[in-house]
Amino acid sequence: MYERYSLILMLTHNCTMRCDYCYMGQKRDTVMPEGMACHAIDRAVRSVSDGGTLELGFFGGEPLLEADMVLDLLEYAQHQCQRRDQRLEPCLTTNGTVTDPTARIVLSWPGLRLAVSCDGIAEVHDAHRRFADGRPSSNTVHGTIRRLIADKADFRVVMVVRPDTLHRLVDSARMLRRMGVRHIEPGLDLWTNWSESDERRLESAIAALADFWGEGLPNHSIGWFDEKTAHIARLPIPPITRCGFGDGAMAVAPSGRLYPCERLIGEDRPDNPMCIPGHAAEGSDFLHLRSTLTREHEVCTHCAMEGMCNTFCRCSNYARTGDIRRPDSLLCTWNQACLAETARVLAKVCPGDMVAKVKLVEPAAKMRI
Amino acid sequence: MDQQDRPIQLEYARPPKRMSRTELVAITAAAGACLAAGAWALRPRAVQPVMLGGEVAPSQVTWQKPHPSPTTEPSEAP
Repeated sequence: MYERYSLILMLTHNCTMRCDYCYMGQKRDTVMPEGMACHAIDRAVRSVSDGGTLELGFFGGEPLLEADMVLDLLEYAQHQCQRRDQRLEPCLTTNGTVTDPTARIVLSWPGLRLAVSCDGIAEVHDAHRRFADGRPSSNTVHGTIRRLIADKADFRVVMVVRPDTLHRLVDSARMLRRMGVRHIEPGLDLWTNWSESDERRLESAIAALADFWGEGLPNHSIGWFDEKTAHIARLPIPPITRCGFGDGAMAVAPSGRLYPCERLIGEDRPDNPMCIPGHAAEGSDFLHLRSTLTREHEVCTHCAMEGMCNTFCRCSNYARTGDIRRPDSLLCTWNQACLAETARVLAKVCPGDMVAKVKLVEPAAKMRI
Repeated sequence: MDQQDRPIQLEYARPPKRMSRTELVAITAAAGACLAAGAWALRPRAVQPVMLGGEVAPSQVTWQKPHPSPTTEPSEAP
């Protein structure tokens, strides 16, 4: 039994938008049957020990196209978890374009961890994130963000970062912060080509964004630097179950096929090598689905940064190299730059003479890093 | 774009880059020392997992005012 289990339901392949970097494949009106979703929730609940936590995520496509079903499933999961004294942690990622009354009820669900996808300023956002009919979507999405802020909702904005938008990364983050966004989660587009020159530009962009992050502490966070701060500060990092990659984490496609991560579902082709044997509608729990896939790789075990790195994200590795264990230069560059810039900005907060004094009394060699 | 148009990036993936311990110490020493000394205007207090469908799972750090003692170790998560 797990103390925490993460179940991600990809409710539909359909979407209001046609983002040209979407890794979820061609859009089609295929929806997960609600009975199957309930059965998957039952299995996840039975995989969690009494008193444990079920993380239930809704993903797509655009999950709010099925807002009625989301509400039903939230109520169902709440009831099932209460019966076993389990805690339910729901989360949902939306593109921010579905604004009907039912969707708004979902967005205001108590305790919902909400992520809104927005790449920032209109020029950047509309370059890749357009409606199915080709219209730009920034006005609609920015309106949703403003409304959430007015409602005092706690949410994060997920920004996709690409080589062609690097030069406006800080501008986009600044615009979001001015709107009132407090949590920004940038994420690299791993499915596109990053040249060596792009990697150098990425390092510069990370440095500039880190300075912007430092200016906003402690009221504003940027995911890339928060996590590295935790590593440098030696804070205990709780298990992030969704990175269990099939072990303590499961993603379900509308077809019922199972995957270790929702990012690997794509078009949910039957020959997808990342598909886990079994079906959501078959079985009483997920306990037998233990991952035998290790992330250990010789390259990483000889890297001093191994324990402070995000290359444990096996779907990211897979996207870059076709090997879940092996990162590539982009992932290493990104991780190393985030760590270096986090440390640089944090040290800047401390007066220089204090740094010097501290170094004398506590040599770096004694640090547990 | 169709998923079929987005093959795994094997053809242009460059090899990973290792970081040496010397490099790591050089990068983190100043920030780590500041933390150990409690000299920050603000200090990280706890880190929480953030669950995001479709994105790398990051963590969110919460902050607190510094402890009065300059030698106090960073506090643990509540």
